[in-house]
Amino acid sequence: MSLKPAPEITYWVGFAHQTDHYTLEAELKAWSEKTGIRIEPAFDGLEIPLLEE
Amino acid sequence: MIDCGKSFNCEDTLIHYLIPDGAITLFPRFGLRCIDVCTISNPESNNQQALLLSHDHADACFGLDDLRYPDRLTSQPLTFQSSLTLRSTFSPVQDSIPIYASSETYTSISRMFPYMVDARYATGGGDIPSFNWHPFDPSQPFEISECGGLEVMPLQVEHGMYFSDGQGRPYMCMGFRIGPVAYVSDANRICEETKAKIEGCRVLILDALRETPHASHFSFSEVSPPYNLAILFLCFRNLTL
Repeated sequence: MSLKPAPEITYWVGFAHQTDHYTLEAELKAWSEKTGIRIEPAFDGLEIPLLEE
Repeated sequence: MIDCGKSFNCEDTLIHYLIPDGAITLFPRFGLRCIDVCTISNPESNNQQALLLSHDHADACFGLDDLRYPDRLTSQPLTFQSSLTLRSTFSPVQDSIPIYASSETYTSISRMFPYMVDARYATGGGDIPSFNWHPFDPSQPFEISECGGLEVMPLQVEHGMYFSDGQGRPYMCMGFRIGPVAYVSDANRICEETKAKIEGCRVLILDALRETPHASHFSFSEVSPPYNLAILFLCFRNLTL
């Protein structure tokens, strides 16, 4: 069994108004620590380079 | 920029007082100018700009008409010296804005807003935006020539259903992969072919609407571990047994 690279990070977008950003952020952080899969809510001002470094 | 929805310019609407999150409000807060953020730019492209459309829903394209307004997306006081594309009154940032959309989205917008694809259909005395349309084949990568040949891979995803024809045919929305980044803003299902195109990306931007299920968007449980194996392809589909 081999494991190929997963995305380094997944950002969630498009939340409905019921969602509290900071609560979701904390929940996802807990999941990420357990699973090793990094998921975070996107936020205003987030910058992601499109070109490979 | 990817998409230009109905809240793109909400400064002058009642919505602004309820949800002050329009681009025209937020961009200056982060010190961004329109020419920087409205578009995908490349240092080698002489600051030419382009717009990608993911689909024809109101929250993705009903701000198109505002792409003619003066360049108010600046932290500097409004001077009314420049505009996005208006030529008659202001000095435009550029003559026209290239827009890349699937053939289906292009056809839909042609029906909704004919003047946006052909100025001869304008019926009023006001100015209209100036666009240069580039319909693309969703199954093939394409280049944005105005941005130094930036290569874009369309990612076809399902985003609800057509019920009008009685067959429940999926409504297809476009995500985009640009280099190491995959962007899927509106989806409730991703087919295996598209998953393969996402595979290997370093950053994934993914639709996640809310905790409860929705007909056209992923819910949290569908895109978070360990709840749904169908989505865990993002991390585990690469397991080779």
